Amino acid sequence: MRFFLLSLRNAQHNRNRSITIAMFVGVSVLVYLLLNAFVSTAQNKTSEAITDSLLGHVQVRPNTDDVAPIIDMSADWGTSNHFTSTQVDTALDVFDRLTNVEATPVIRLNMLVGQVSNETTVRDGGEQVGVVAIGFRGEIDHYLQNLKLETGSGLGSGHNDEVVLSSSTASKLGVSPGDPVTLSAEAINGTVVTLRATLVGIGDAQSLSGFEDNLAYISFNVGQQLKGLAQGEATEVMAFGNSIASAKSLRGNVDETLGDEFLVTDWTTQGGFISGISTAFTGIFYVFLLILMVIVCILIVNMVAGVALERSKEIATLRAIGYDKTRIIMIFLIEVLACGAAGAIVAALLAWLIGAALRTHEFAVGSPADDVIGSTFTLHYSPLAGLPGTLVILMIVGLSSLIPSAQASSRNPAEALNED
Amino acid sequence: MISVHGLTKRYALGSTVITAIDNVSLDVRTGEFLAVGGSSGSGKSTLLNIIGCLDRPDKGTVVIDGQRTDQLSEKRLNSVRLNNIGFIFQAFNLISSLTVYENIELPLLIRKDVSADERRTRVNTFIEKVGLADRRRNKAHELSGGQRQRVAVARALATRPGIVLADEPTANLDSHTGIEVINLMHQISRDENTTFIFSTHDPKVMNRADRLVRLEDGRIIEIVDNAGRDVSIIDKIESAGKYTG
Ligand SMILES: Nc1ncnc2c1ncn2[C@@H]1O[C@H](COP(=O)(O)OP(=O)(O)OP(=O)(O)O)[C@@H](O)[C@H]1O
Ligand SMILES: [Mg+2]
Repeated sequence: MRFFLLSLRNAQHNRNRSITIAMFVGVSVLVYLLLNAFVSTAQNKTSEAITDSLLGHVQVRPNTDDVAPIIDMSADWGTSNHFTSTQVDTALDVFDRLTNVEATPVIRLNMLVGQVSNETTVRDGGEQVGVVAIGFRGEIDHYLQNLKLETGSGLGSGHNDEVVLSSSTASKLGVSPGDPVTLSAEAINGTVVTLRATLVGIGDAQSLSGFEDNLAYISFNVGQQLKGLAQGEATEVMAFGNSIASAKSLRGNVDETLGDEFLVTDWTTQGGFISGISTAFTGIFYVFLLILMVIVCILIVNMVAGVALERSKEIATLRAIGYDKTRIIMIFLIEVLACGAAGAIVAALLAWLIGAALRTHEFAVGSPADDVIGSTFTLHYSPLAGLPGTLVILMIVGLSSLIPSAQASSRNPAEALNED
Repeated sequence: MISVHGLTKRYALGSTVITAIDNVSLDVRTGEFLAVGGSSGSGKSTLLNIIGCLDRPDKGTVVIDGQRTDQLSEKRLNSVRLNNIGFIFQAFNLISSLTVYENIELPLLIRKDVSADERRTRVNTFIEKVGLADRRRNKAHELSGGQRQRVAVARALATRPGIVLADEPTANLDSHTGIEVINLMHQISRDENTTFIFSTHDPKVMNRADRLVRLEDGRIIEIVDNAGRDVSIIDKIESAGKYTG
């Protein structure tokens, strides 16, 4: 292995070329690390917003024929499918047996929110806004991570029938916390149920604002009344596990235990178009990265081909004194990788410094991305997150060096020695 | 002991075929100091390359110490070069990024049977032998031509090969330095009982050989024992050996 000394000496000897390779690899790694940090921060933010405000990590619903993702383009939660109270208890029991898991029955429905006039009667023709509503029982307050309260409080403030609205819905209706509002929805038996509730809080959507303009949170008993469900019944059971990353295994775990009448899903498949948008942004990033890598590959292939040509006599000499092809390829590979790794290390340090400097900086997000990830954005740079990708970049760089060096090492040494 | 029999090597250049080596047969004793003479294009390099396992003949056999090498796989040829053969080139062919010490060390680095201690000892021994102990840290470009060729001699001998092939080792040196290098090679050949085959145009260099093989158009036209003793032959060779282009 000591013959790699030659790689390092060669790298030292052709300092300018080594620096060029290091710079190209370094710039690619730097671009990759920073973009990756941006993309994964944005994706995390979106994923967390989706789970916190809409889906939870795992959802359990009645297993019927017409199952669609919970969030789709229509965002229609008018289904009459629901669990009996026994089924709800069965599902809750399964989650209860797991540690670090919070579960709650949920009622999803479409509803109209309306103003109540001073005369305390429902005002005909008054402003009404259509929203999709999620009813929770208990102290589940994950939704407040994304719907940052501006005024008032969250559900569970002590009022009997509560509703929390987004600021845009509230301002359309001209209502503020403490005001009564009317809620109407179609119950499972087809009748329209209207009731009075108290607006307890108004919040501003951090992410998914496009969606959350039409989203309301109601207390569980309000949901039950509007949906016409009996005590203990629910349309769904929703659970939060340790982290969004562990959702898949939590789903698998619960799915195994529950019977066929339960449909167990996780947020990754239920995010619909919202997840789609964030996936599309990620896709664009990878295409960009691919183009960058193709450019780096071409550069490395060309450079190594140039070096190999320059050193054809040296290669022939090495072959004459007993170095085989593999060793010669390795000498080139190590030289290129050493330069590349040096560039990558400098790039990683730079990226880390830039990441640290930007930790508190709020980037303004333009349209249409602001509808998904919110109007401001703070970068979370985690130094280890980019390690696998950096290794892949180095691997691609190494592979690129193989083609020309394999070619050079395969030349007949007698012929190469004969050249001037 | 090297035994070459019926060796032929042809090159196709467009529609014409050049016979670089034409039915050459030759035996070389172990420890012999053999010169190969002949005009430019007579096939000296081709012959040395085939004996040195750098190239394969089209016809004929090469036997080195009882082993036929003309049919060996690339891998085996490689190992023969590594273990049994040393090369010295006209243009020295040192690795420019390495120091004198590292250049000599180079073939030893890949010899599995040579320990790190043994390697150090050998490199130091041969650095001393070629008189460059004080230049061990220098790079090739910091040395004179003669010094460079002495490094190449040390590199070729450090693996203790049975055979050293030197293609015009003195052609890039002035005649005084050339003779010095040949004398050095001769001395080591005697000390180590190493077979040396070198090609040359220089009669003074041929003068040092035990035997001179003269090629013309790829054929052996003359073999002279104790070449240096017969001055008239050397003169003849000198006039014939002038570069013709
Ligand atoms: N790779 C090759 N392709 C085609 N022809 C070749 C090749 N190598 C050698 N030859 C031809 O073979 C013949 C012998 O060449 P060789 O190099 O062995 O001569 P030489 O005696 O070493 O000459 P010089 O003294 O100039 O080095 C020449 O005619 C040369 O043109
Ligand atoms: Mg020649």
